[in-house]
Amino acid sequence: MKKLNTKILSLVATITTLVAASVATSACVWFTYQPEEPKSLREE
Amino acid sequence: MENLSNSIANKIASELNMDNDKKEVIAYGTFALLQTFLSIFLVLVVGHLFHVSVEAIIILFTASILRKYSGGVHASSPGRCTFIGVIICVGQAVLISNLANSFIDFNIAIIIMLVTFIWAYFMIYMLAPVDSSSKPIKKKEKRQKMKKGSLIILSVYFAITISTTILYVNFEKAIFLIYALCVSGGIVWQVFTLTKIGHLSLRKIDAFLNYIIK
Repeated sequence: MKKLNTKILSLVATITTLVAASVATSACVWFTYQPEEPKSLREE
Repeated sequence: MENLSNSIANKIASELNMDNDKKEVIAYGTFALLQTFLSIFLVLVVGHLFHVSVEAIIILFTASILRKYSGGVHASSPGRCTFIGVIICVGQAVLISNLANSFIDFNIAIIIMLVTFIWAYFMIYMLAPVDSSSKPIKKKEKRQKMKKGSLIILSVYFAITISTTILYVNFEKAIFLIYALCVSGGIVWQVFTLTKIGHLSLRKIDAFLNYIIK
């Protein structure tokens, strides 16, 4: 059960990281709200 | 919504022993997913109540995809963003459907679409990308890439509008003209949010919503 839980959480982590990376290359998240972008995704 | 995203990210990060940077990225991605799905769901539901769910979704996707490259003014909270999104998309869809069924004929529709595209090309060329303090775009190369991306997306919309108009001419079904006008409606709203008057208007709506909710 614990293994399954870890696998599901890893899958969610992978999907959300991919989404965050794709948002990082665009000008904003979606309609009219933009949360603070994480420092690790910001271009210097 | 930000609290929910942070809770999910905290849970994942603690279970998988991740550092703070990875946790922030997961929270950011979770928020993007939740906001996107919630706004699509609400526009579909409210649009369904007014029998314009397809039209409202066309407007939402047209504005949001163009916004990914062109940027624009932002609301101060995700709740207000979603509320404004639903009102703008469903409101425009109802207006376009009613006007197209009574007042707007083919010639007027063509003029509206042409004026929309000429204005949009000009404004995007002049203003895009419009960034924000939460997500600044500093590099010149990235700004040029965003502007180019905005113009390409607009050209894709132009091709879609021409195709839909040709379908209307061939099959004489008003719904094709309505869909083409919805694409123009989404473009008009998105380009409006790039302008100074768009910034002022959205800030006033935002302040008004903040006042009502308080």
